[in-house]
Amino acid sequence: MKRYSVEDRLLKTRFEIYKEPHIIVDTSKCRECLNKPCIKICPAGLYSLDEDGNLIFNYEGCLECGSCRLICPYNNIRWNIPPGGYGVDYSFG
Amino acid sequence: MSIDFDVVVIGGGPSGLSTAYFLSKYGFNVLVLERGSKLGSKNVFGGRVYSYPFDKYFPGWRDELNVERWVSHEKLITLCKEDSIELTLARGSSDKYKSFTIFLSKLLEWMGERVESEGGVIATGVKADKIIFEDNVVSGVEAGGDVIKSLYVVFAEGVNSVLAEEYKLKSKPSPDKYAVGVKEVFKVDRSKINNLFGLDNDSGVAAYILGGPLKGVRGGGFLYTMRDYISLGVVVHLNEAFEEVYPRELIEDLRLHPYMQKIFKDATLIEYSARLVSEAGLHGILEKPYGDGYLIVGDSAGYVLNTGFTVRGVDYAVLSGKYAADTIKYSHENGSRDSKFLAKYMELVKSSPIYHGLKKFKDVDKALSDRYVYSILPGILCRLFNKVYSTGEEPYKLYDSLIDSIKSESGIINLIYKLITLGRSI
Repeated sequence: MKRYSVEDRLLKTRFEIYKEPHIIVDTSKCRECLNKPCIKICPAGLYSLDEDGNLIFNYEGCLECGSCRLICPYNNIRWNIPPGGYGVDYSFG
Repeated sequence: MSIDFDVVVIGGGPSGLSTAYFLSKYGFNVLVLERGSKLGSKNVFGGRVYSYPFDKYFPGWRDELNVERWVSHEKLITLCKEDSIELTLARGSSDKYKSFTIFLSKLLEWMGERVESEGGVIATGVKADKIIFEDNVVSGVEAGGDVIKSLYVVFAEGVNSVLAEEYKLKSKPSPDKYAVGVKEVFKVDRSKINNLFGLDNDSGVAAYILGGPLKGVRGGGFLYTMRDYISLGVVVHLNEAFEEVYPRELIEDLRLHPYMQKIFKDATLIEYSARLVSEAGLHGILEKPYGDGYLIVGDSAGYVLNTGFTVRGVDYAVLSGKYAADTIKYSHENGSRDSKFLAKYMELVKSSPIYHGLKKFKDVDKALSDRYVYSILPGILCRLFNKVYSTGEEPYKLYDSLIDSIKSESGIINLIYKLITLGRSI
């Protein structure tokens, strides 16, 4: 049996992506954050580091769980929900 | 003031639709705003609903709601490295109908039909953007540029109560008492599900999973059988993200354990989902889930209980919706929107199964956040069973096996102390 990557799994979930992000991260502050728990907790794996060690974030594929909103030790994630009718669209939740 | 609706309910989940149903039944003019494009678009849970609130308040529901399976089998599955230990409660026929598996989209669709049959209005794809205050009384909402005035507003936003928090009607929860639940749903042949677990078409399994890849992680796994699907998931304490724990990988580790391989071989993944779960229990409920012109229900108010083995959420949501509706009826009969009258809501909650359950498990949050429990218990069980059922030349005595198993994972005194503390709280 093969392991599913997060990308494999996100392809199975339906999204209606809005043109603007509903989550805004002030990544300038992330350098100070040693642990960067957002990278680990996000079930969609939307937080990662680029080659220079800067935090990068993509809102497309957001499962709207809210884990990053609570976990950020610097309270640095401006978390909102997408406009009505947009974002994740579960059928088997 | 001129009003558009008597009550606006923000959120079309189990608590919001329950509130709307009872209010509509009482003759109120109700509008539900649901931000998802359909009911259920934004809702995720494990998979099981308890029947009792529907038996009590939704007569006829058993003829209307197409459940997936009735939970006839409760399983406690302890995974070892490759082996597994399974403990099953197989219910007699009469108790089987007391809980069922379902997808929330189905449950909510049915609840929505109930709301509409009583004259309630449900607007999907509409997000409430702002709250309108008049003389410090919540008097409606603004949604998509439209102003909607109402006598009362009910917040049923769910675990992420963005709007209620923005207006300081509740504070932002701390991550210490929350977990993230991650779920994968698979299409599996009905006959295969029946054969795997020894079920007939309408009976099903609810399983709690510990150990294996989850050993030492503050959290657990779950599995629910649907008619033609199986849901598999993990619930992991948020603070595990400060360790090297990745819930999104943990669920795959779980699926790839030999026990699960036999279930999920040839199964097709159809959806991946996630949500936050409160583990705060009694300590997580709002002290004042009401104020002038408004009430807060369901998950938004913290009405979720994780007992360590099972989770109560949808049933509490439905009950709190009923209490909210009763409270608004009472306040309206007294011609008031004042928090003095709406405080009746808390009285109803406090004398209900919600509060009684949460109070009974008031220390469960401590037990659930104790890493020790998650590492030593599965370890001891695995070693104990392997010793007792040893296939070597000489069998082991139960007592010797037990002592050896405990010593391999922990000190005996420490274990006894932990078991007593744990035993009291779960």
